[in-house]
Amino acid sequence: MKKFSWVFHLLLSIYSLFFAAPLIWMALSAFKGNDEIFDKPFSLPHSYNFKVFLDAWSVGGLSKYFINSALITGISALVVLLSASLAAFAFSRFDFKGSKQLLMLFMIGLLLPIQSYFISQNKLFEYLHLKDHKLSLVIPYVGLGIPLATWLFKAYLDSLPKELFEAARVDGGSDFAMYRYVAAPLLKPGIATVAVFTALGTWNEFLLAMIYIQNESYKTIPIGLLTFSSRYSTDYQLLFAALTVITIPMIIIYIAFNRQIVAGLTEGSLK
Amino acid sequence: MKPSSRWTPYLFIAPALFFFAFAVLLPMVGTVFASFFQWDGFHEPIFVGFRNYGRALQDTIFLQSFWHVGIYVIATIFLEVAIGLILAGIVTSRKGFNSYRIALFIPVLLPTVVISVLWRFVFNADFGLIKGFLDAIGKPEWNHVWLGDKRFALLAICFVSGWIYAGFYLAIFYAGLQRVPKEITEAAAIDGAKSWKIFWKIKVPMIRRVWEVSLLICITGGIQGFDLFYIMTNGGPYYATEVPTTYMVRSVFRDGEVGFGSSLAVIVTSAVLIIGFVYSKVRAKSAEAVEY
Amino acid sequence: MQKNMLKKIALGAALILGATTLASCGGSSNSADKVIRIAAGNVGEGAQKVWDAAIAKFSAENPGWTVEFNTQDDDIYETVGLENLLSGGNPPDAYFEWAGSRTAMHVLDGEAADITKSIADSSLKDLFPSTAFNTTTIDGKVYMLPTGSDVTNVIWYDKNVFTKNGLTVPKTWDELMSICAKLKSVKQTCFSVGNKDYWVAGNWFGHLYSRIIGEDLYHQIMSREKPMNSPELVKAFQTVADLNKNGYINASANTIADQEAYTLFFKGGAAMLPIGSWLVGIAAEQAPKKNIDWFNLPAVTGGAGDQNSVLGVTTGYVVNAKSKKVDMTIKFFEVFFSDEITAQWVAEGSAPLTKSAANGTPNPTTVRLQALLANASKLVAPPDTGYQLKIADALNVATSEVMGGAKTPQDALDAAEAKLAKK
Repeated sequence: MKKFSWVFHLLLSIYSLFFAAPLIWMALSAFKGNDEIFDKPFSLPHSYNFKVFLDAWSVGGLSKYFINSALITGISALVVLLSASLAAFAFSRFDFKGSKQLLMLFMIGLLLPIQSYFISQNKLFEYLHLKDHKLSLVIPYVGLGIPLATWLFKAYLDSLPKELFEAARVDGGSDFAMYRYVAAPLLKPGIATVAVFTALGTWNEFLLAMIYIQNESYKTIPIGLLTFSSRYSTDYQLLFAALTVITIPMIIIYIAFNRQIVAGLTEGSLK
Repeated sequence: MKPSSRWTPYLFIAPALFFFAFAVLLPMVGTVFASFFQWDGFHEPIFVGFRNYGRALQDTIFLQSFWHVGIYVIATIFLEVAIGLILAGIVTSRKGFNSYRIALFIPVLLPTVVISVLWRFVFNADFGLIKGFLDAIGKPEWNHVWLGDKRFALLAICFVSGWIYAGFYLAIFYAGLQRVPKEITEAAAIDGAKSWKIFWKIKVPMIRRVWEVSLLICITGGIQGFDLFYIMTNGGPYYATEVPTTYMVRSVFRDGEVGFGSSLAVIVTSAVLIIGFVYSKVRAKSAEAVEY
Repeated sequence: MQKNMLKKIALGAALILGATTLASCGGSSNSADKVIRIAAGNVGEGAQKVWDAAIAKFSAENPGWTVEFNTQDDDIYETVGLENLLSGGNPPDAYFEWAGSRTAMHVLDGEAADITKSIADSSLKDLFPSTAFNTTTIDGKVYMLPTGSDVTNVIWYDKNVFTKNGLTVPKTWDELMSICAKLKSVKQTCFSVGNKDYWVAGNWFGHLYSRIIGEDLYHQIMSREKPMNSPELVKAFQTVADLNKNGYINASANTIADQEAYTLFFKGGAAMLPIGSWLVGIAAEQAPKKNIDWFNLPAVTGGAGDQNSVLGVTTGYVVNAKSKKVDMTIKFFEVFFSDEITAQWVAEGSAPLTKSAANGTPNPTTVRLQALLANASKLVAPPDTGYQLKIADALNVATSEVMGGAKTPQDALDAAEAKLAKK
């Protein structure tokens, strides 16, 4: 049985090659001039001048997009973590009037497609002047992330033995103290999951970012790159250099955290 | 457990509820409300009852957009979920395949603009990579205007979508398969079962929950698809790749028909919710059936 | 104890809420900052450099002040983008627009400042010839500082290909068609069109339709006074169907964007490129050695319209009526239109309307294009910038369908009419 290993290796290699070829081609094209890209698309570049990546990064103002994306994603994840864990704690641990109905409300959110609300949300945000600000996207992204996060956190808390909390109560712990000192520390493994889901949902979010952010200095990566790609759409070398260089930090972050990301992802879908 | 005060549970829920209600529930109610009006978004709305819905159900482009997204969902079930499952089967069958799993996830993280620009270049009929390749192997007559041909444009997008997300489902199935107890597969192997048989007959049924969730994500996520369609083809050629979301954006932001666009939104949302509920009912039933 | 706990939760909630409300409040346009915000669609690489120079000059002359020039993808700017910017929390102080119905709409919505007096009180009055504001004046008030008058569509051609095949510039549409037949016989694609976003073929053929059915009928159809499927227009569409039947347009036309079509033309993939006057700057940047020239849409024999008509539109910047920095914005435009920067615009290939533009050594191609516009016996407005987007879209999609051979003229226009007629 073991001897078939190479067959699988071969299959996987072929698949991976097909899969990686466009990305590799893009990176290599960044070293070629426009004429070379068109006339000899498959040839290797004559020389490798890595300065083109620096140029693309600075010409395109890519740092700005990157920082905005990181900021929006980070704050959104933080707010989701905080508010969803508080809510999940109440749903999981307290008996109170309307708890079922409120939970139901959140659970509907799990299925609601973005289409169901973005048209009116746009008008609402317009009315309240919430559009086109550095943090405009935080509110919709938090709203987007809360249902799933609440559900996941609640599932975690439900699995904890109730004795833990009862003991704390006997010791005179207040409701908040129980959240802070009992529930929160135990939620740590869930935090990675929720953070990963929120981050994956917001990092590349396109539709809302396109509608809400027009100001150059507030653009996130997806919309910033769209501007860049339409401005330099005929300068393929610069375009490919920019597209390559923006993906490098993402790949580094991913490889560094891939264990947590994959674990988080699967925890979420297994719950 | 009893809260120490009647109000604390509500206080705990308040922040989450505020964001969710403000960003999602309120606008959703607003969308339903707006769908009964003829409204350009600026001037006085005119109440028109169900007229927007009547119009939507007669709008051939909108109805076709459902058809397109249906094709897209079915195609991606194969190109993303099924391929992801098979890849996961291969990756978990031997040690040392882990790097493939890590690498194949990368496209999920790439901005759609990067992916679209890249693949638009691959498909470009005048100087694209496919054309270059076909020229090189002496078959230039096989070249087509891939994104401009009604037969191919939608499939090309499905293909790119598969290229992106197969790695995502691979990661999910991978973790699921890791949880299958070793004893079971080992026992089967001792009984002489072939490894592919163990995979299909034992492992796959055991991770039922995982692929059920994956299917649901693929279906409901697919119906919401926007970026790839918007950047790759902008709904073209002549609406051949128009999906409900791109059509909605076109109606609201280009044609200035907020009311009509809202009615489209309500129809799409209803479809997603119905699919979701039917799915969970079917799932609950079948889960009961296999309980032993 | 309990009160204390409640306080903590309340504090936590308040913090979260505060973070977001703070986020929203900070957004409102702040008159204290020293930033002029100007929005536009994509201006291209060459023009961007001149903008940078103008901004640097303005900042040097007005210490502490700067200009934030915000560009977007063209298609987004024209539709979602500008509208969102204007209604957003941080609206631009000035924005790019096309003169005509679009600018008039902004005036109605209170988003366009009457700058008649600002011009009279500033150096702008002397920088421009008095006629420059004719097309940007509505009811006697000036609402736009014109940056140029674009000829929205002419046909660019590769001179070398023409010479090689013994071809000369056509006078009539029929001559153009025999040129195409000749090019087809030597396996050369005739036209490169990048119509993914519908406006390129929309402009070109919009002009052609007006020549065939007459400007009045064209205007009536585009204003919804006559139906899209008027028999005259259906008949005019047949010309486009014939182009498709003969395979004179690149097969990829409906899938590639405008810029990709430029590349195709520059790389020799087609002999002609129907596009506007802005190609001058792009060609200088991208294919400086390419030997190209242009001719206006040739006369259609028997057409009802003026056969010397020109498709054109004035473009420029509108000052936002809601801006709190109108004076500084005007100051920036004084720099923008100054002789020094004008010289750079001329060098870049643009055709500013300022007086000093004539002093430089303007690009001869641009001079001829400007002359075409100045001497036009009839000016026709492009569908998308001259009329309501929704109507323009219906026409342009029908055009793309017929150009791609997906529908017959009758079917395409019936569908367009049906779409517009629904309420």
